Amino acid sequence: MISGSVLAFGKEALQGTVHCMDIAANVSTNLRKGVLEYCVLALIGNGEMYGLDIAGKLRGHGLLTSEGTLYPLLARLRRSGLVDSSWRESGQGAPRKYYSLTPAGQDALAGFVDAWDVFSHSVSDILKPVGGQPS
Amino acid sequence: MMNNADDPNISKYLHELATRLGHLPAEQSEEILQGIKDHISDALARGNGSVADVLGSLGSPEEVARGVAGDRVPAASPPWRTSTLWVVLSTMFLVFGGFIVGFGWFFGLAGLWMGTCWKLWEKIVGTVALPGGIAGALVVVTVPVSYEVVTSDSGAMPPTVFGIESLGTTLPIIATVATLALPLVVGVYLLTVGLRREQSTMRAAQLTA
Repeated sequence: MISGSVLAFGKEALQGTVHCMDIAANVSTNLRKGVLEYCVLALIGNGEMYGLDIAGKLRGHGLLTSEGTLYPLLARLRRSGLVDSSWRESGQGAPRKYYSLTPAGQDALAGFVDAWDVFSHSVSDILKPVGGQPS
Repeated sequence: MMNNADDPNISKYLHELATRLGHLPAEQSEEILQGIKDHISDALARGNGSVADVLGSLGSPEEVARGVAGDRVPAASPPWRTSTLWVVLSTMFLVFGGFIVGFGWFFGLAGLWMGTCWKLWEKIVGTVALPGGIAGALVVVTVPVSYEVVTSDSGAMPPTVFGIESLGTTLPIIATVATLALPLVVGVYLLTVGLRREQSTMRAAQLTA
């Protein structure tokens, strides 16, 4: 859709491209909101991590634009008992707060993995004809 | 690194964030602020760019605070635990509850720990100074510290106790007064900060409503 508009070279078509990009940005913002906390659980589930590393990983995957918003999320996950935190000496200087998954967090993550599997397959199946359409 | 950590932009950022998180219970906002603080110092120590870069990647304090507002789970605890009545009753029970068949203080203690308007250290101070409130302090100052026991030589008479001296009479008067005043001072402090935080929480709730 986007490449088709650009090829047309018209002013209106270019505006259409910008509009499309707006929609894409908006969609990914909304999608991120729903999955971010489970991505955090999944990252921590691979081994305890501290804030800066979690933020870096999420940002690297384009899941987090403002790294600071991770901390209200971590605080909420800790309050709801999905994540645990402990202060630990790090190799370099000051002790760091490490986050790990609680058994409840593991359950929540497993539940999400199952639901996501079904959900992503369903959406992909439905989108297939759209993606395959010559534009 | 030390120069970076003292950067006025960092303290400005943290101050602004603290203001925007002001409506949250103290422990929640402190947890978030601590996370951000550690993030900044870790990122600078690792050489992830300048102070401006690190603060830029965090997003504005407004965005961070909005992340809290967007939480699905209500961030604030049930309002009745943040109410004026809760704060007043908890502190009253804590200070004077000991007089209610010795049990009232425990209501105050429960109210203090379940309340949302006090920080952890304030809860600890409220608990240890002084157990039982003013009633507890009265027990402490009247506790006997010395007495004489007189037994008759033959053992025919039961031992007699006299000359009981309490802690209150042996300690300097100032110490006795301080012991009695301690629960009252702590109570007034808890009431003041509790009510102040309760008001700011209510104001914030009105603004967002």
